Amino acid sequence: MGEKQNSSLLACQFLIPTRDREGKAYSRGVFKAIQRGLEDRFDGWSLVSNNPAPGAWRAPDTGEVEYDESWRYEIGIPRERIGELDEYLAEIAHMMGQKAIWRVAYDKAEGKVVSARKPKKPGKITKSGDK
Amino acid sequence: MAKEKEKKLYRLLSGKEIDLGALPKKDLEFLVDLFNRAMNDEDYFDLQRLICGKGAYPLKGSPHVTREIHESILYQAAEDIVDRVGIRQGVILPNEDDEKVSIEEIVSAADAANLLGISRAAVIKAAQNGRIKGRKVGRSWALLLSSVKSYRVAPHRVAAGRAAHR
Repeated sequence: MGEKQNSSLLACQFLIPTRDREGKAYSRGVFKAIQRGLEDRFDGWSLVSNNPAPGAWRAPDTGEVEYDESWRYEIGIPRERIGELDEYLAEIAHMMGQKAIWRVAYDKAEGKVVSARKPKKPGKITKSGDK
Repeated sequence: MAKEKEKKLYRLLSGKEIDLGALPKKDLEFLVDLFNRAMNDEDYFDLQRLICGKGAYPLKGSPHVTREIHESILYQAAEDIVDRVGIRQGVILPNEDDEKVSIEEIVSAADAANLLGISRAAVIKAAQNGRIKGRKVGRSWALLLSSVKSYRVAPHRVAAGRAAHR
């Protein structure tokens, strides 16, 4: 990750669902596209050890609690690139037919969470990671 | 003159062939171990962590999977082995243009021996002679289940043929 490590580097974790909202598995190409996108844009990715993470959340439109399992990815980026990551997560959400991708950013030096949120509503589909 | 390394071709789900022959022995041992775990139907998520979780061998000390790691022969082969398990266990779906052969259609020499009711040595001999289709991966054999099944049928047909000529 080279010289970028010199600026304030944040550890960003986000949850990529293992299945779509109807419980159907994704094709392996979907995950490869996401991973390649992370490699191209943010120089790499890693999986956090307790994958996949089971989760439950209340859908804002129906009010019902939904359950899913997600891969917990982590990347290290400078603080000023969080917006760029959120844009990419919005694209991923759109591509996967998800409402949003949960994301949290830690400042490891300060030992605290900097921001945690669901990013903006899904954006356009791009094939930038699908090579 | 340095001896040229023997080619060990591995066919990915995409149909692309990669040469494992140039990999160091330790890398090959990792792949054989991973393959054996896959054959033993270990959990897809556990296998996935073995190839890209923190401290995973194919990362070679890197904290992240980079494009360079992702495109390495070792990672491509490991990812393919694990993807086949994921497909078989229903955790992921194949790509539309993937080849149809998945790991469930591949058996070890020991499994083939059990299936056929013959010794493992006899199975290996048949594989070496090309009568059972398969490939040697390190010390293990990966055999096509369809080929193993047709090998079992052959003596049956011979018997049926003899009966027909009585």
